[in-house]
Amino acid sequence: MDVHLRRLARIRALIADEPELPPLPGGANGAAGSRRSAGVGHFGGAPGSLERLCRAAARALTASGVGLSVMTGEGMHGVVAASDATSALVEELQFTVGEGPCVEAVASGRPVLASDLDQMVTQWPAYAPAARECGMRAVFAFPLQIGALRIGAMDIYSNRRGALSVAALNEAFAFAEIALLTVLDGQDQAPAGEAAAVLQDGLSARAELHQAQGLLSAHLRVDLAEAMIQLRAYAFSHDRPLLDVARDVVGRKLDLTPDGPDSDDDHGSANLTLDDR
Amino acid sequence: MPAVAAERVAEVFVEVADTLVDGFDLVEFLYRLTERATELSSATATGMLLADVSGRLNFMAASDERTHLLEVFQIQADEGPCRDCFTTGEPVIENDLASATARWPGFAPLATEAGFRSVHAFPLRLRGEVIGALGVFSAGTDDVDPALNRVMQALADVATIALLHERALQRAEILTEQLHGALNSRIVIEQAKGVVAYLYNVSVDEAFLLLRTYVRDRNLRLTEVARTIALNPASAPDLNRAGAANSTADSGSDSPA
Repeated sequence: MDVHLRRLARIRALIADEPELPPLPGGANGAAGSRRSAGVGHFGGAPGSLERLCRAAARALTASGVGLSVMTGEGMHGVVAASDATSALVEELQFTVGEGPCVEAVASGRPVLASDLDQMVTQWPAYAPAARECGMRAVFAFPLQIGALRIGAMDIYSNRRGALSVAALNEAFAFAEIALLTVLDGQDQAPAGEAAAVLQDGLSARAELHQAQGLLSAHLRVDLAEAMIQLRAYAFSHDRPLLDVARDVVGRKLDLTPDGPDSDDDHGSANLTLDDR
Repeated sequence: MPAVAAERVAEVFVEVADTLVDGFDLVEFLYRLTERATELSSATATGMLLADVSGRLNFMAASDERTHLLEVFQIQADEGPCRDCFTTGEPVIENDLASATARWPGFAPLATEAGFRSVHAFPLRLRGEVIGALGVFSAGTDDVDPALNRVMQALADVATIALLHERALQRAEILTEQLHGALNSRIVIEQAKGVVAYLYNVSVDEAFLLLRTYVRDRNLRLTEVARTIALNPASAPDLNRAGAANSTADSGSDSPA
């Protein structure tokens, strides 16, 4: 776990070091309008940090480009960020033709590692040739997910055929995790240069965390994303390890019921009361 | 140690082979495998770990996942019979876990506390490649019938072939995709445990038993039911045999092992 946390910290630093660039033309980055129209309620605001994440990932993985898309249950979508204009184009392509690695990754809940697009023509008869036209030869899609909570995918593009190395795969999974956390923690809404004040950790693979997520989701009648946001916000604001908070929730020692009619919709605004029992 | 009926062994192998066909669901397959391994060897519990691309072992499924047992399986990613079995590619046997603290200072006390006295770990290997390990745990101290060991290893071998089968035929990346998909499915199950624990006002362990009984009785897929419940708690099916929600009564004939 230590190795993993160190990797996440290193990647966060890489992302922070990426310079801000003006938004891409065509609205792929920064067109809050396109995301609002996609109906993805949690994900509004300035996408600067996600765009920087895409560029940092492209650099770290020596990829031709990286794209990030979100999807809701109803299949509505938006290209949230990309490292460059071509990647934004290819990313958008999947939604235009309704097929592709990102679409498949989100549908199946598995990464889709297409190291040779020529071999995928049968599977993606519209997407594969079109992506090839844009210069892509390999695409690797990583779902942004925690169990049943699946919000989209991160696509890594290469203009050369060939599988990702083990090291690159590990880096890619870590970037995907940070992309998910960035969205959940609302960091994509933080002004440029300011890291939002949130947990600098990872999504633990511990069972208690996800059990707590499910329990809270049922208890508060919110979706899984909101449940995780509440857990993380509580851990952060009370300066307690996330896993401890999760254990208390599962053990019914912690009752995260929001404060009456005064609570607003911002992340972590719920007044969380400690049950004495 | 009672000998296992040859017919039952054959049935299990056919069943395992059957699950390889349509719509192969890795987590489902591994749950089935660990349950059958436990049954065939009259063991107390069986757990399965698989390696990812970086050679790290991941706990995938167990025949009994009550919280106090979960730790015994999970710690073996770092230390224990399954870990040793994975690194050496050879079976690992320990018949007296209580005195194995020098061998496994972290794992042995945990296993003993959980009530286990012996363990047999079998490698999942094919032509020199080891992809994981199957750990069979017993509360009793009877020496296991050597014939049974061969059956267990054969079961592990069948599982290995099943897992590598798709990879050999298609893209090498299939194993990574499969594994990460399965790891995510595990999380779905944990989320569903939490939801059910709340809805039925039970512990997460009891919630899991409710879920497993429900899917087994109706021949449904655990991962699919879990996903439905996790996504929409309000429309969760009635998991209680008695038919009444929020009942904490035992569900009759299906008492937990």
